[in-house]
Amino acid sequence: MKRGLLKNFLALMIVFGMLSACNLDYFRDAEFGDFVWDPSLAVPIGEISYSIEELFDELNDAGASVGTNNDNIVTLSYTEALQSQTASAFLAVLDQSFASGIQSGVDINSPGVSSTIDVQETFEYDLSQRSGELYDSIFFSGGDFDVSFASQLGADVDFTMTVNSLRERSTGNPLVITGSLTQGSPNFNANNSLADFDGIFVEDALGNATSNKVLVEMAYTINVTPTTVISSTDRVNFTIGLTNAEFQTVYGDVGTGGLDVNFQVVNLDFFRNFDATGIRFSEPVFSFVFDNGFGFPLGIDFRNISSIGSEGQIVDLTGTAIDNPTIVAAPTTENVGGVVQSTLELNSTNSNIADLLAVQPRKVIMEVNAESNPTGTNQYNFVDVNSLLDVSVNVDIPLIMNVDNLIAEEFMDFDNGGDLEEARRLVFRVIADNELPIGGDIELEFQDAQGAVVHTVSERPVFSGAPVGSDGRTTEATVTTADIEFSNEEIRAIEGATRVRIIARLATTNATSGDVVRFFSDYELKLRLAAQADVEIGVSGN
Amino acid sequence: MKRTLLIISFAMVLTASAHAQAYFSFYQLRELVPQTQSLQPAFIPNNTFTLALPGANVGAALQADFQLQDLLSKPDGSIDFTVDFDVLLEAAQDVNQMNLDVSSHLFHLGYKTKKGAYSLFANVRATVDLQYGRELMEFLANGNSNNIGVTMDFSGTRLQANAYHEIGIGYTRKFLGERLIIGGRIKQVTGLFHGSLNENAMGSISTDALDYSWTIGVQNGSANTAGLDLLINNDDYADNTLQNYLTSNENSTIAFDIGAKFKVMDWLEVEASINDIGTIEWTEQPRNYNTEDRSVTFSGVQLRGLENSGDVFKDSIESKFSSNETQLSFETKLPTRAYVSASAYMGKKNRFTAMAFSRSVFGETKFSYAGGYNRTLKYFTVGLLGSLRDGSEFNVGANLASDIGPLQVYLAMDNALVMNKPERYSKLDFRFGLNLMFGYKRWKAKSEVVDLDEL
Repeated sequence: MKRGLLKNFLALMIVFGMLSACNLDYFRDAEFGDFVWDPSLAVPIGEISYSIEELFDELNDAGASVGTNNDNIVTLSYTEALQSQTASAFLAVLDQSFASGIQSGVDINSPGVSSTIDVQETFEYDLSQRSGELYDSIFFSGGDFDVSFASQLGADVDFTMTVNSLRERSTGNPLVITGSLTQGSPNFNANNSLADFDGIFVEDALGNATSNKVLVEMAYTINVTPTTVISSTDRVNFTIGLTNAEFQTVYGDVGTGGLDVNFQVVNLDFFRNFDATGIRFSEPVFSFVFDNGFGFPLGIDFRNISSIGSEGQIVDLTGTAIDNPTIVAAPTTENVGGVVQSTLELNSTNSNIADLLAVQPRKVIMEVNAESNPTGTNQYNFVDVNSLLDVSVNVDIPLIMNVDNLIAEEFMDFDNGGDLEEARRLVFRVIADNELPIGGDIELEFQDAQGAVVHTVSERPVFSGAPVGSDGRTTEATVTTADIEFSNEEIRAIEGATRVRIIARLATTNATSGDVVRFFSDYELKLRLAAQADVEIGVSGN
Repeated sequence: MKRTLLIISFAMVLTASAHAQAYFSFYQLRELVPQTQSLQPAFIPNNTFTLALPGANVGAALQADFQLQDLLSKPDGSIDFTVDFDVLLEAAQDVNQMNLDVSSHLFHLGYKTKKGAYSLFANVRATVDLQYGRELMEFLANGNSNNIGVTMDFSGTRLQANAYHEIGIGYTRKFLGERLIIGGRIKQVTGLFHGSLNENAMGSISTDALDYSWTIGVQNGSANTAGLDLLINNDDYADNTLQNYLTSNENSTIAFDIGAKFKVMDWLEVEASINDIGTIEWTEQPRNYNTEDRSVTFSGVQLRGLENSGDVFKDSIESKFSSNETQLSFETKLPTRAYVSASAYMGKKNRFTAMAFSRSVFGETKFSYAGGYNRTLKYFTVGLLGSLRDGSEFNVGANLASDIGPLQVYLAMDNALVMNKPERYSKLDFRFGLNLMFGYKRWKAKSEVVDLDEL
């Protein structure tokens, strides 16, 4: 019995000994800490493609439009408008008056009977002008025509004034003013609005064709009484005047005179992205488009066209295109209110325009003079109140160029710092499939809000220029892979960055040989972005 | 003595490739503990009348191809746990398995007769089986940066999880003058929760060497669940829906356990059993998530005008796959378990056993082996069991059951050393319970067990 109990006891002790040989030190005081997942993930981020137009749109600050020319070459275009003075500023009908008198021509001294004596005379006046204009007609739209009469005669007078040069617009009849001048009331005044009349100044008093003549017929009847006393030198005086005259249209010869065209500065913001040198456009074109609403030809004198380079240097426009005034055609009298468009193109064959752009100008100054009838009056002139000379300047810069070591820079907002918190190492891969005949090395500067550089990614080739075939087009896309690595310390540095300064050193294919390349609109730069990211994602365990 | 050593040596060799949750040690408690009928229905309890205390019989087993300290690792200098995929990768094999088995015997009523025994039982059980390849852990630990330009194949990934309850009756009968005992149990199995991946599911990811674009291949990418929507989105259902579902639902089937033991010679007994024969048809609360077979390449997103990049990336990947959700019923086989054992009795009190266990999961049958020794004492039965899994981890199991009076306590573990630095083990298991036993040895013949020492 005792032996059996001992065996039971020993067996139990063995089993419990095994079970109780506890060592739970591993679990003592331990809690679940943070779960940390730290894989290294290689992920495709995505791709973005730029056509040439989009690429240069990115570089442009909105000053230029990006389009294509007839050869399907991408073209930067700037358009600015210049405008002449208005017609009313160019031409004005001066305030003027004409005074005359008609003597009675008879001596009467108490004749004892009553009778009437008629007196008549035609007067011819020249319109006063600012210079040598000769007007045939003026279609008035406003102003006053004032007439005053004063009689010196010792008898009552009934008068009629016919102003042949003022035709009532509605009837075509000349303006007729009638009245009586008595001994008790020897003065008479009248006023007419010029807006109702057309001025016709094409005949002289003898009926000969002329210009600028104002014809007035003055007639009066003297009512003689038995006691009337009149000297032959007694007169009836009159004065006619035009004041504040406004016109709708003026016909005639405006002579030779200057038209003020406003001064214009064209801001070529595109070049602000680039350094001072390294780019030369081969075939830029400045197109001046004149829309002339004046009824006379204009002579255009490019008084001053010059560019101001990025370092302040000034290059003046020279060349055959500007040595002689350019004649801008005008609408004829059959096309009053219309415009005639003339275009003057400044290109590399008739000017040094390529030199103007070679300095990568921020501004181009344009100052133009316009002169009426530069070669004499070869065309019947008119000026309509709405006549205007509009001058638009199209600066077309086809991307036919040589770029050699051109430094371009762009700022890009950087607000991804918060997304980098869990990253410990990053390798950004940029794969460029480039059909463009231009390549670039890129340097990145990460800057904080104060503009201080917190990290710099050294310059490295990111995309290479595609080879160019004999037809001027690129033959194949080049594929360039660039890896940009950020260590943990560098990631921590750029977490506080607010913007990235992208500095690109650009060169077209075979730039050092002076080759000029063409950027056709169907070229594309495709950037594929990928990344290897060593991340450390923690989840709190407590 | 030589025979004893031979048997022990044979048993130790067999343990060299032991795998899966066999409950070898619990099996060794045999007729003494009535719940062993769930492993071998041919066991006839020693006692006439047995009543398991409700809820007082539980068992759990967690087994993996990594040690606990690989799962709950501690970073250098830290006393706190973390889950570190790098550590798990270091421990990973080409194919890795993890399984969890939880059983709770809610009720067991046994009655022994002269010719056999009857039983009435109810259990709740849950199993989770996970299999994954090294490349999946490589991806989780290191991402794909180390495998750029190659394909990472996750096709070996398998998952099946089941929770169900079973209610049944068992009957065991003696034949051939008690040399042959055959037992069987029939049970109504009601599925509660299920989640599984298609057993033929294949997935891969390859990363392009230039632009890191991902080519993701999916074949047979479907997953089935049952009951999980009700569990997770319980608020979307009417009151008591979950409770009613857990009590009774249509995911019901009839399953069987069968077993036999045969006394070849007076000192040698062989046994065999097959448990959990049946198929659950999940007809209530089924959900099927299906992805079209295809290989897609994800090259990132269009960066122009990109906003809410996270959503755009997610949508971009999702848009490349065509998937749908259906509610079609599906079937899953119960993870059938089988035991074969041979026991040699050295006298009345000593028993040496060599046994094999197989379990079918993921369409494969896995075998395990063990060797054990049990000693019957006056008031206890105690036993030791050895296992060596995958040639690297030697486990010593132990079992103990009281045989004192109406209250029985038992405990069995396949890895009894686990309490000594448990972090160094990959297998944690136990079976514990309390039973009320009556009529001890009433029908037991005196010469039922041969004392070999006396031969």
